[in-house]
Amino acid sequence: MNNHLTDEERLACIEGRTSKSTAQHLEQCADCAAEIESWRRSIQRLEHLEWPARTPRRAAAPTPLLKWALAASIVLCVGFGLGRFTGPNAAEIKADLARDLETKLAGALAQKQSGATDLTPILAALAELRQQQSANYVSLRKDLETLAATADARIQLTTRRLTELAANTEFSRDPIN
Amino acid sequence: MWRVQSSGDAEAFARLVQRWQDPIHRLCVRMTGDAARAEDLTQEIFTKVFTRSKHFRPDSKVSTWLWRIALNHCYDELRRTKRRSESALDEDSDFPSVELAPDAQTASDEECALVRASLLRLPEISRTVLALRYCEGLKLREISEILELPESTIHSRIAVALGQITRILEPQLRDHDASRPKHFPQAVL
Repeated sequence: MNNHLTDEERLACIEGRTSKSTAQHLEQCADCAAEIESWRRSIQRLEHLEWPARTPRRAAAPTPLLKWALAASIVLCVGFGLGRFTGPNAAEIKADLARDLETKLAGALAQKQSGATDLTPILAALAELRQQQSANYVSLRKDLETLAATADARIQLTTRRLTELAANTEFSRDPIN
Repeated sequence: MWRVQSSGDAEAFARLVQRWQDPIHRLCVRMTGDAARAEDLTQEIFTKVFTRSKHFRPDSKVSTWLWRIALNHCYDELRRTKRRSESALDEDSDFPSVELAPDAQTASDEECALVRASLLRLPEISRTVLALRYCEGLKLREISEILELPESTIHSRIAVALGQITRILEPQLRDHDASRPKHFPQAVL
């Protein structure tokens, strides 16, 4: 038999959409029938395939939810830090992020108070991250101010030295006057 | 999802994670073959989901959106891994031979190990359609929405992928069965 079934026809047959011509072909072609059987076996193996189960990496982790909340909040903190000192609308971005975080905390707290599912660890983590975020902001600002002050002092020193050097050069060119 | 999207609702996000972390982790394992790496990938995917929640369109399905983010993240990871190990790859061989995992003890374990290894040797798109169709049990229409391809194309891709994995698996399983002793000697008491 020359014209064997195409891959699509074989799959259609497996999925129960066998056309009349395919059925006729299969009655006469042992190769195609065998191929379809081997595909069926592959499908069964895939459907019953077992994979290693999820294993918590750190036994000390309080809850899986906390891990996700921490991950999401770290991204917020990094975004806040970068946004604060890069884009032209740093102040707006900061305000947006702060509002987002506050809304999230307020919503979660309100639900907690109304007797919803216990998400204390997540809320605590968010509050902690909020504090951490503020501390980071203050620390970063202090560092920047120190850097600015140091740079300013160095600029003044360099300017003074340049002025002195210019004066000395002028004097050495015209020692008589 | 709209609660996460509109107000960054922590509880809603926690519920989303609870509902989807296992399916997303399973997909990551099937795509990468590494359970520990899949754990990291799952975490990264949910971080992406959280940060991109404002881009979610309310007229689309959450599941479709999640699967798409997860798959794209897996593809990125596979490309990074491939770049790292490119020099070590055998360019001449499309389907290098399968090594059984050392923990494969029983016949069933060995067969599972062979199927897992065979799946990992398929091209990304073949692995994707087989994982979504037969491991996760998604319908053609759902896979078509996730991959943004016509259903007819998905049907063809699945057919090609089934042909590929069968061509890898069948000879290996035959050899494997042939090498297995048919009759075990009876224990002498």
